[in-house]
Amino acid sequence: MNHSILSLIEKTRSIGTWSLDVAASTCDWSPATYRIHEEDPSKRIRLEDGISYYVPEHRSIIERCVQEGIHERRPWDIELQILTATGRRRWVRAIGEPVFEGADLIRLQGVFEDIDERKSLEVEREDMLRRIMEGERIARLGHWWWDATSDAMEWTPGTFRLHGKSESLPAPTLQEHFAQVHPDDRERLRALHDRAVETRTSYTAEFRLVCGETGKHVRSEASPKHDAEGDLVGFTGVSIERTNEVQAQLRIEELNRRLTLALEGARIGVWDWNLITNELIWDPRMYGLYGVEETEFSGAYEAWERGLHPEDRTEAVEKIQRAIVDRVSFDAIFRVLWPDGTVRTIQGMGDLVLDAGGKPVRMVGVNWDITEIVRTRAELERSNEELVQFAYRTSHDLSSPLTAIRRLATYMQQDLVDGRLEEVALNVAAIEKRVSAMEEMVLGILNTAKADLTTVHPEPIDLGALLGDLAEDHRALSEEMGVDLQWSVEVPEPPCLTRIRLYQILTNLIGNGIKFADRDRAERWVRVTATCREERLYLTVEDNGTGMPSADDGQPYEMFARFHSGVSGSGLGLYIVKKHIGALGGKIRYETSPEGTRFHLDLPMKPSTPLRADHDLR
Amino acid sequence: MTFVSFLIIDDDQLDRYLLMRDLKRGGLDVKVFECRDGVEAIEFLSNFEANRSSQGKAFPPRILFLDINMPRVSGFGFLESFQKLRTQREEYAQCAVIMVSSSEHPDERVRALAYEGVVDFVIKGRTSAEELRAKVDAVLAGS
Repeated sequence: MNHSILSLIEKTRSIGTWSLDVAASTCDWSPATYRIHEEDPSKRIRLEDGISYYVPEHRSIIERCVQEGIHERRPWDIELQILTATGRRRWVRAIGEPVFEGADLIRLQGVFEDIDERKSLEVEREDMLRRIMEGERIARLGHWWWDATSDAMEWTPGTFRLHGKSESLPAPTLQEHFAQVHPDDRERLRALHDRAVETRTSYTAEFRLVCGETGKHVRSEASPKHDAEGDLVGFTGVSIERTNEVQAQLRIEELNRRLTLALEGARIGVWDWNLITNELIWDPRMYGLYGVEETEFSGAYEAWERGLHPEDRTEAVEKIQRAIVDRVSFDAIFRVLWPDGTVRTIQGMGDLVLDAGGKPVRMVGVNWDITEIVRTRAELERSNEELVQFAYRTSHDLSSPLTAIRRLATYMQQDLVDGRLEEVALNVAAIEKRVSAMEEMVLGILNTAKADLTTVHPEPIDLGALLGDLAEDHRALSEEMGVDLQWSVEVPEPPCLTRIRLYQILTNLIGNGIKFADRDRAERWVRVTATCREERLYLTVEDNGTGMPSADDGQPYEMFARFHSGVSGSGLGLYIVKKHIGALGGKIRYETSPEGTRFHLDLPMKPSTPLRADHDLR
Repeated sequence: MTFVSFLIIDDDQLDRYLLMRDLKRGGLDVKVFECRDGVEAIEFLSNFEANRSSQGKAFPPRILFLDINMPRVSGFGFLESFQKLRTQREEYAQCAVIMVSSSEHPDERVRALAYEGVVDFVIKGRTSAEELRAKVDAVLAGS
């Protein structure tokens, strides 16, 4: 009866029995025990054979159990792993107990249960839990459970770690958890949670935890759980630390802010060209650089090409296409032609963006306006060239008379020896005249430099008073030449100009008019008129002198241009005039004939920009 | 003593004077005419008959010293007009022109020497009286 029941049990539960004859060291296995061991049922099993089925790491355990069973009469019930006859690992529950007859131990007997399926699941579950814990640690996240009835929470190790708390402490209540949330975020999180409880819906919250020196940024996602009746029992949640991400995001936002400031400050436009779709994205500054409204831009690459100056289009397009083909950066200077006809010079740069296969998919770049830089560079080059010319001509014009004086001195020594004192006296006068001319030239150079080097501001100028001063300055010369200086001013309000520049313009023109007076005329005069029309000041300086060369080739305005023999002068007068006119934003022209010369000056009544230091020539 | 007549065309009175002294110092019997620019020089040379009768063998001058940078008509402007005069009067074909300039620009030297009759180019203040005499002698030897 017992045997039959055991057989039934063996069939249903994979349980086998065994007994060990202690004296003979032989085992008696039931069929199920053989099956569990996947052993041939005809095989005779001795004690050492039975032990050898256990995996090596468990063999000593079962040996100790058997020894303790024999010598200390202690039963055992343990879970160990065997290696079946076919080489498979299998978990078994091994139960054994000593059997006595009177005081004598006659055998050991027991049960084998195949628990491999259950044990494997357990091991798998433990592994999974271990992996989850490891995942929590790596991902800096933790899981939690909140019981709606008791307000108690359960935390996984990851959640403890996230809150900077020891796992040995009990998990807090929800209210205790809220206390650890940053005060600025606490009420918002509480309200979010209360609402989720009320509506039984999931929620996601971003908040800061007060822990450690700097605190932590956390995102929590929670889902409600209900019982079979649909009543809320609590929330399960996952919290993940986002401190690094938030800080990185804040850094990116800060960098973006700085970049935007830099781009705006430098007026740099950013473009992004999708080479696959041909779509061209411009940031707001790009429209300004091309003189178009955002609504006028189609967003296609061809729209960029159309904005280029026709003379630069081919080269710019070739450069950008070559950059794509050669996989290099794009770097070009080109002009753009605005719809209103304005021409600006642009510096463009771009880098390719490649896909995973190394194929160019986008080009991202910048544009900025270098019109003023190009203009300034040209101006600087011209200015440098002028300076070189100035140095050359100054040294030349200063050395020539010195050489002449030295040579003259040689002849004067000879004349003194020969007693030709009248000749010597004439030559002393010639030297004096030549030295005076040099003085005048040096003064002219100083005046030029003075106006260029001095920082001066535009100021309202009383033209009548200025012309009065000029008349006084030229009184001696005009009396000597018999020239009458006349002027008329019909300007309702004083022009706002740089006084030193206007003074030097007029003193040179008036001085020339007096110096080049025609002595054959009975009446000799220089006339200055000033009128004003539409914010422009018109000045004329007219004389009935000997005239001068025509202005066709600009030569009269060149440095050291002189065209009257026998009349002293630095050769810088008209050069200075032209320079100042340019600095004031005006224009000059003249007409001349043997009947006289008339200069026309066209100047702004005030600077085009608000009053500022007149530093344009520095 | 060899007689030679010169025409100095220069707007600078001192330069004219120094050149004249240099020429007189060279042991020649010299006659020097002076003009202040190209206009005066062309007017002077155009008045051939009157000058011939008043100046005798001194006119036309054998050697012209010609400055380049002058008001009204420059040295090159004078050369253009003088080329016409040379075709009109064979006496002028015998006149040699020595350019006298402050400019050391090589282009000006090349340009000047390309004109018929221009035989030399000297820089003002760089040529001694002796060197000048040698240049004059070279012209006279060629005639």
